Formats: sequence, structure tokens, C-alpha cells
Amino acid sequence: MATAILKYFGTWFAVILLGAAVFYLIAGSPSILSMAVKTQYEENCTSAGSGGSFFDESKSANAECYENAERAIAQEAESARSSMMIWYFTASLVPLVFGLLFALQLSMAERTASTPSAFAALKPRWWSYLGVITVGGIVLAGLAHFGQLFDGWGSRLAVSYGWGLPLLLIAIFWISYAAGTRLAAPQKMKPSIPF
Amino acid sequence: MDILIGVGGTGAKIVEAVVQLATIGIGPSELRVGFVDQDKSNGNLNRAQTVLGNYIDAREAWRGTGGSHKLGNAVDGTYDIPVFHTDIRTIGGDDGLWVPNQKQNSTLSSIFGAMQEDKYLFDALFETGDVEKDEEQDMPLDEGYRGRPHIGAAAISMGAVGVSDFWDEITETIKSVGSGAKVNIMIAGSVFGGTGAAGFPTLARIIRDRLREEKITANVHIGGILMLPYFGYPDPDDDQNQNVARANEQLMQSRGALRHYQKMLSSQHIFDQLYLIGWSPFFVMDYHRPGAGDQRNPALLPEMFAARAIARFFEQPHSGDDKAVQQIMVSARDSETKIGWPDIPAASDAENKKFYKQVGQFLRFAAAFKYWKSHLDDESSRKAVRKQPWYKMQGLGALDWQNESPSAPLKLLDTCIDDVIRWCAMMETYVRKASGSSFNLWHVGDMTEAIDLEHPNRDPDVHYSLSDALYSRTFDGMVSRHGASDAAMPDAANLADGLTDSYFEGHKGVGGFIAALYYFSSVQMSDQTD
Repeated sequence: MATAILKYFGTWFAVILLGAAVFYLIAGSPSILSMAVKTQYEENCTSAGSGGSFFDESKSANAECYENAERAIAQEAESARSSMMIWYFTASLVPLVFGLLFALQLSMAERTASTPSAFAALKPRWWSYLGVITVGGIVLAGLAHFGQLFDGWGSRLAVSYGWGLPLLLIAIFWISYAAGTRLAAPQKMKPSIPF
Repeated sequence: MDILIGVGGTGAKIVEAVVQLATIGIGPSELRVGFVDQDKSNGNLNRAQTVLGNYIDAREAWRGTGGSHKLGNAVDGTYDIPVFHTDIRTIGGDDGLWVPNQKQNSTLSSIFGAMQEDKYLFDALFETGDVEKDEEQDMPLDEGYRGRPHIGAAAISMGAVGVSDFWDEITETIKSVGSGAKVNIMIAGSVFGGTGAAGFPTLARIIRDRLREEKITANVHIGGILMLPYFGYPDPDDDQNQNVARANEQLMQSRGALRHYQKMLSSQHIFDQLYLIGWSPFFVMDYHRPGAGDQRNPALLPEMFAARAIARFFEQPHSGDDKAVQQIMVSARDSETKIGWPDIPAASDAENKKFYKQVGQFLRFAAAFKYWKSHLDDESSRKAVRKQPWYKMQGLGALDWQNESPSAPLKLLDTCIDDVIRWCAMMETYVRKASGSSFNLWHVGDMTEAIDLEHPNRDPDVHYSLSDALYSRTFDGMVSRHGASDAAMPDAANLADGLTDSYFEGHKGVGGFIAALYYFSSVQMSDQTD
């Protein structure tokens, strides 16, 4: 039983760490922020130029405004990445919990399983846990966009990233759960893993 | 060379028991088997011949030459299994049956033919009359000697004078001791009834006479299994045939016969070992048939005891002291109301436990085989499991199921397993029936249809396969522990682990899978010792 749990944990940890690296590299660049966020910072400089404020008289002041805006955008991107990583690691507990639960149940079933049908008996449960994990991913995608729990980082990114990264997260969930349970399953109980 | 001759219906049942133990893996490496019965349509004889035929066919399939699926071809035999270990053949070829008087409608009068002054002696020894039950001289012998050993003794002695393949092979085998071979001959029959009681001492004497004729004084050992009354019938109704063996006559008859044996054995050296086996109280058969095909009695536990004794005789045919008096063995159990593994007669505790392990392991193997084989029966069954690790580990995925299908050898093995299960089920049922005795050897009743106690001549059918639940329950609980303090046996899940993790080399085709099933059906964990 301990072996199965360790195997699942190890696989989950490796996959999540790899995913975290991918997330980290993708996020953090100002280019992934939504146009609305960028515009919000840059329009100050633009509107100042046309409106005749204190920027009017100095080109260097205008350039400085843009520099300040870029810095602010970069900070915004960094802030979004930071929120996203918190979200990511929090979310990764979902496949950990359900994967460990499944590995535990698999190990317990292995002790008494004596027939081919018993070897495959946990297959429906495997699918149901995968479903729960997927729904969990969808809920977390929603939380990334709506509400302040994760600082609404999703809504601050471009749509393709704001929804694409949660989709990637779900894919990472699937990989960690599938690979983890496959490796954790005792040989006899492999038929309970659907592939 | 070991030879076993079953005389009469009870003798045939004992031969059947020996064959069943051989299927389990208990017995000598080579055995020649013969039957002596005047009643060739006797149901007990027919069943024994069927079981023997099934064994020979299955052994040829699994141990013979040729074929793609074999057991135990390992060079060092490390993982060989004892099943079908004994090479059994019939004496004289064919069915191994010697019918003392071959002619149809033989009677004692027709066998002796025309008599001159001897007719007076014949009349003095054998009754004649109008009442059917008193008639002896012209009693038809086609259905045996009807519980009259003096008729049988005369008829058998006359029959042995003639030429037959049966006696030729026995004589040739006896002569082989001249070239250094050892021959053990065991004769099994009953002290009650007709054919057995008549043939048992008569055959032994005929063999001793042949030894004297060939001037052979060593290396041939003769043993005897004499079954004392252990089952009985109710008396026939008035409207039934009255000329039958009667239960209430058996004890008197047996007492007389035993006195005769006592006198005979104290004056002549006939048997090197003699086993007398009985049972109290009697097993009661709720019907009666005088002979022919309906005289098909259920297997009973004393017959297994007899088979045990025979196995022991073949292992240790004599005391080692040639001048020792002939040994007479008596087997009796300790309690009338219960029976467990320690009650099985054995020369030592170790031998007793060895028997328990072998029988227990085989019965569990039988349940496992019935269950797991069903996953190999057809393409769709195999398709359902072919990706499972155990299937791959046992090499089943690599077999050519089209051109080298194991179906035929598996079916032959299945038939022999059914024979053993049926045999055990009958013994179990009748011990439980007898005064509610507690039976702590095995429980195989779930693997067969219910045994019809009102029709004991009907053999129960064995289920073709077992459901998941029945298999697990049967495998885990079918064999009683030897002692109450014994460790728990490995369960069906342990067997599944074994199938998934281990493959036994040294067998061919599906033989490795069969060996694994057998090995993991052991009654004790692999790391346990006595």
C-alpha cells in the first residue's frame, strides 16, 4: 500500500513540477496580458498627449510615461503569474487527493481480488475520479477568472491564455492522474486502469 | 512392477479409488491394473473402467509423447507436479477385465459339464431346487455370484485353467523377477458379497501356485485388501428378486469367511501384507440391485482408505525381514461421529500430513482449474482477459489457439478432475448422512449437483465451471485444516498473485499455466514449513 502511495505521489510530483515550469515560463511575459490591461496603463500617456496636460511640453516626459506604463504592465504580468502559480499549486491538490484515494482503494482491493473481473472492478471508479478531477479543473478555471480568491488572474490575461492555461492545467491533471495511477497500480490490478 | 487386481464390484471400486488417487498424484510410478468379475455389466466395474480409461487418455495427453501441451518435461523436474504421475495400463491390454467364465448364460453345471460319479459330490456341495433363491447349480452367473462365494470359488478356479491374455501377462510379469525385477501384486475384494469373497483368496492361491511352478521364491510380494462389511442394503420387497446379497446375511457370512481366512493364513503363506478395512455403523444404501448396470454404488470413504493402504503396500511391500510372519493390518477410526485428516490411516504423522497436503492441494487445484479454464474456453472468453497481466504472464497470449489448441487436453484433464470431485462428493455426502457424522476433510458439494440419496446409483454431475463468488468461496473453504491450530491457507487472491507474477518453466504450451494453478493451490504458504 505504501509503495502504491509513494509511486503515485512521485509521479504526481514530477508531472506537476514539470507543468509548473511550463506555466512559469509561459506566464510573466507582458505579451500575454489582455489588451484591456495594457491599454488601461498606456492610455494615460496617450490621453495626456492629446489633452495638453503636463506631458504636452516634453517629449521626454511622454517617453517616461510610456516607460512607467511598461513597468507597470510588467509588474501586472508578474503579479498575474504569481497569482496563477498559487492557483496552480492549489489546484494541483485535486489530482493528488483523488489519485491517492484511488491508489489506496486499488491497494486494498488487490489484497482480496482473486478473479479477472475483480482485477478490473475499479475501472468505473477510475473514470468517475477522472470526471471529478476534470470538473474540479473547470471550477478552478472559473475561479481564476471570477472572484478574488486568486486575484482574477485569468481575466487579466489575453483570452487565449486566460482560458488556455486552465485547459492546460486540466490536461496536466489528466496526465498526472493517469500516469500516477498506472504506475501505482499493482500488476494484478492493472486491468482497473483503462489503458 | 506393481500390479493391482480388483475382484468383484467392491474390488472395482477400490481400483477406482486407486485411479482417483493417481490423478491426485499418489501412487507408484508404474501400475498394471486388472479386474476380475463374472458380471461384466456391473455398474461399479463399468464406472471404474470409465474412470481408468479417462485417466489413461488424460495421462497420454499430458505426459505422453507428441503434442504441444505437456506437463513436467522439466529436465530436473523442479516444478513438475504430481498429477498423472503414475503410468497406469491394463493387464492383458483392452479393458483389463478377466471374466472367469466367458460363455453366455454360464451356470455352475455348464462350467463343470458332464459329470459321472462326481455328480453326487457336486449335488452335496451346491444346492438345487425349484425355489429361485435356493438354486445354485443352474443359477445364471452373468450377473455375478450373488453373494455366494463358494459358487464363485469353484467357477473362478475352473476359469483360471483356461488361456487368457490376463493370466499370460501376470505370468510373464512374475517371470520377469528372474531378470532382477521386483513385482508387487495387490488383490482387492470384499469378504462379503459373491465375486470378491470368492475370488480374493482363490486368485491369491492361483498366483502362489504359479510362483511355485516357476520356482520363484523372492522378489514377488502379494498383498491383499479385504473389505469387511461397510455398507448394506435393505432386504428386497416380496415382489422383488430374492436371490440377492442381503445386508443381514453379510455379517454372518463375513464372520464365517474370516474364520476361514484365519485358518488358511495360519497354515499357508499367501499374503505378505493383508489389510482388513471396515466401517461402523454401515453406510445404508436405500435401494438394492442384484447385479448388472444398476449395481453402481456410490463411492465410500473406506475405499479411499483401501487405496491409501495399496499405495503404502507398493511403497513398502514387505517388512524387510523375509522370515517375518505375514503382516495383517487392521484399519479403524477413533470416533464414530467425526472424521478429520488425522483419522486417515498412515504409517506416520509425516505420511498423514503428506497425504493431507496432496489431496487438499489437488482439490483446491480442481476448483481453480474449473474456474480459470472457463476463461480460455472460446475466443470471446479469451478476448475479455487477453490483456490482463496473468494471461500474458502464463504465456497464454503466445499460444496458437487455432492450430495447436489445448482444448482437447484441457477437456481430458477436466474429465479426470470431474471424476475426482464426483468421487469426493459421494464420500462426503454419505459420511455426513451416516448418523450425522461430522466430516472434516473437505467440502466439494458446491461443485456438484445435489446427490440424490434415494437413487445412489446415479452419479452427480459436476458443474462445468464456477462463478466468481462460488470459486472464491469454494477455493478458500473447501479443504478443512489438518489441525485446528494450523495457519490459514493461502486464499484465491494469493493464487491470482502467483498467476500474475510467476511462470513455471519446463512445461509445454498450456502446461505451464496448469502447473502454476497447481502450485499456487497449496494448502500452506510457500514459506511455511511443518
